[in-house]
Amino acid sequence: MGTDVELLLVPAVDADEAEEALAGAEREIARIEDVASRFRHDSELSRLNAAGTLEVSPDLMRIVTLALAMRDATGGRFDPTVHAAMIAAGYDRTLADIPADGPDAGAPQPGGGEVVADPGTGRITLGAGVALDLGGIAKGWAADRAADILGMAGSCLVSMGGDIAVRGSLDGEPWPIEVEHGGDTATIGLTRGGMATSGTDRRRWRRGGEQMHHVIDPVTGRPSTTDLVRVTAIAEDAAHAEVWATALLVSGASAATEEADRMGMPTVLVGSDGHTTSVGGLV
Amino acid sequence: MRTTEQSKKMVRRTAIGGSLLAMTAVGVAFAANPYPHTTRPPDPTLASLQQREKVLARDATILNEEHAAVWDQYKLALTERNQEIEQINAINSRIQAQRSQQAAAAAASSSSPSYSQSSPQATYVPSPPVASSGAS
Repeated sequence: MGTDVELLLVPAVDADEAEEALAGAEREIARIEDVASRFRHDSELSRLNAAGTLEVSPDLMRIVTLALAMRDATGGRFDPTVHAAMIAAGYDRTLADIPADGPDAGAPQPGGGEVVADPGTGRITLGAGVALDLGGIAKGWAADRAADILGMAGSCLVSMGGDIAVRGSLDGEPWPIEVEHGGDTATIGLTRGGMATSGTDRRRWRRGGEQMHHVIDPVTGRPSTTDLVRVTAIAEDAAHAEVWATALLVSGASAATEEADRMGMPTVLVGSDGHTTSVGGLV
Repeated sequence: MRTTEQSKKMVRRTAIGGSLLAMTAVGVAFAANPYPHTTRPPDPTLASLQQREKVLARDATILNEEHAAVWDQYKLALTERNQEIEQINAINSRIQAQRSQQAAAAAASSSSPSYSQSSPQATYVPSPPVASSGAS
């Protein structure tokens, strides 16, 4: 998935069993990458995008149905059908490999594409011209599943490039996790669930003279013009945290503040001016 | 008339007494010969069969009693099993009801999610970090 993985375990088992759990968590992440990575042409997701319809594995079905449910829950601010817009923006390879400049991005490619996922038959069918990008939510999902496995051997933290899932505590204390904001850092203690950060400032490039980043606004089909550069959200698991971090980032500071407070979701908002706000009950 | 009646009674008494005497004589005869109707000794085969019949009858009684006991145990086990099934069905019904409630709650919360917790899920802490939530 083009990201670093960090597995931390406070073992409640002997050394051999702990090693086995760590290896099992690694295998699980690799397995989910085989399923849901769009950067691997032989992944199940790539085969679905190429064919338009496919009888898929239970894993892909679960990730896609969760993504579609979250598209509804976020009012379309998170949308797995922005694949075409991402490609048009130049995000057709891992972030590290994107060239600094390139041709014009072309016509906008809004989200809202038709996807029919039928768990009964196991088949997913995409509308004409629709392809799926599960990048963020799949990373969070992988972190959650790896934490499920690692958690059987003790308290643990799994980080998939900053999408974090924890199980249990760190010797009775919350897991201290660094969050960047406004040129500085703070440490948030996470007691359960997941944390994820979505931002537009990690990597930027140009297409046709226009500055690009990888967070697409599904409404415009273009890289988001939000007044936030970074959002860290904390939710019941890493997959949901990833979705809400992206959705709140696209929403902009005012709407994100109102929504995070209403949901009671601990969230850190970093504005383009560097101003940092803690909302959703985070103190 | 009177004499005649008395005479008849006398005759009757005599006749009854004679019969009693005769029976007594037969009884004496049996005592003297235990096999009055035959001169042959008891057939050992017959005796063996009769003994065998008694044993079989006794065994049949025992088997019937054992069968009844086993049948009672079976009926008791069946009753207990049915009670267990009823309990399991009741538990399954409760689980189904809980799942339905949870599904309804999840559906309701999906449009208006809430993450409010009785205890804080996250707070700022002074500890040195063990991981970083970088932007993706």
